[in-house]
Amino acid sequence: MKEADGLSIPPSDETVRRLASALHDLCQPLTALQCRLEIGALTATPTGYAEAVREGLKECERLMSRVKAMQEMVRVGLEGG
Amino acid sequence: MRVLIVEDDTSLGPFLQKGLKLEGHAVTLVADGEAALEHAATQRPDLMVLDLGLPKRDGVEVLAAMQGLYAGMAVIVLTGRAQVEERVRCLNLGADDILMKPFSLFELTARCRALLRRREQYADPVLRSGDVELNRMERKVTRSGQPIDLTVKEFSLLEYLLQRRGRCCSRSELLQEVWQMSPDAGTNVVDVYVNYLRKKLASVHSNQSGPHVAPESVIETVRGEGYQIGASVGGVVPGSRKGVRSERQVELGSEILSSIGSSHDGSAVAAGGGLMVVGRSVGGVRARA
Repeated sequence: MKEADGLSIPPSDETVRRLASALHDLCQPLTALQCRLEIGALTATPTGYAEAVREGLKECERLMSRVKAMQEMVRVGLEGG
Repeated sequence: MRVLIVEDDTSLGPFLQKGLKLEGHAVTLVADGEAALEHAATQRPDLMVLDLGLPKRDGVEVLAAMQGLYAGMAVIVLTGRAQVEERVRCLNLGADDILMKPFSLFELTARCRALLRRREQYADPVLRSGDVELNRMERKVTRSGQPIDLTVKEFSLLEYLLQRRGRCCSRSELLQEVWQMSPDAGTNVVDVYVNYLRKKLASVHSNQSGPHVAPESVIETVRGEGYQIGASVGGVVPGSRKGVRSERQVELGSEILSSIGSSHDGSAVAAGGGLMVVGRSVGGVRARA
């Protein structure tokens, strides 16, 4: 695996497994956000847009918590390595 | 179309339901594998949108349990897992398509449309029950080989009932699916159209000599529930008085309906308008004060 800073980190089975799990966790809120915004666009009314933004922000919160968990995984991995 | 969404995510499930409803489908949402199997067995949806990570029984178990059971139902699997083996397994177990998360609602709805189009293309265009045949491609209906002229709405109603042969369809379901009206709409248009259909289906036999099929055996009234086709197919009444009397009663019922001013599009027959379809023992209608 080639990092942006040029450091080469050999992926272990465990790293790949954890990455797959983290990606899976990200997919759910990201799909929900995408679909919710598209429904808002489909309804095309001020109320529809407002609901889409309100519910979309909830999905953003879920996304942020998953991303923070991934950042923590990376931090622990780098410090441990 | 009737769509079942099986998704346990409390945000995504309702969003998918809302999106597919906007497409004009009748959509039910359940959140676990057991509920999905139960719904598939009792309601026979046209399409199942199935997430893989589910409580009770996961998506792969659901596919395995349904294998070979519901040929008329298409299945789209949703998954956030990237493994090729898993996708191959799902397809081998009967899934028609797989959509990787994250995805766009527009892609999901487009794939649903494509699947349903393909299903209709390869399905047998002729629906049958006893001696009644409905050809969906040619838009023709016959009984014992005799053509029956139906209006567009009568054809749609008969088609819907034949597609769900052997299962009771409630009045609210028929209102929603055939007329695209709210299930709570205050109208007895369903009862009126069932009566029109019965009259037309019976008219073929009343013009013939020989064995009669009682008209109520084509469209049966399920008391307090709705209507169904096919529960007692083969109920031949060989020229009996009972069979002839039943057909005449259906005709009389239609005449009563017509004489009190129901329009053929059903719009003029309001709820509580004094009409009530009674049980199959009579097979017709009677006026209510």
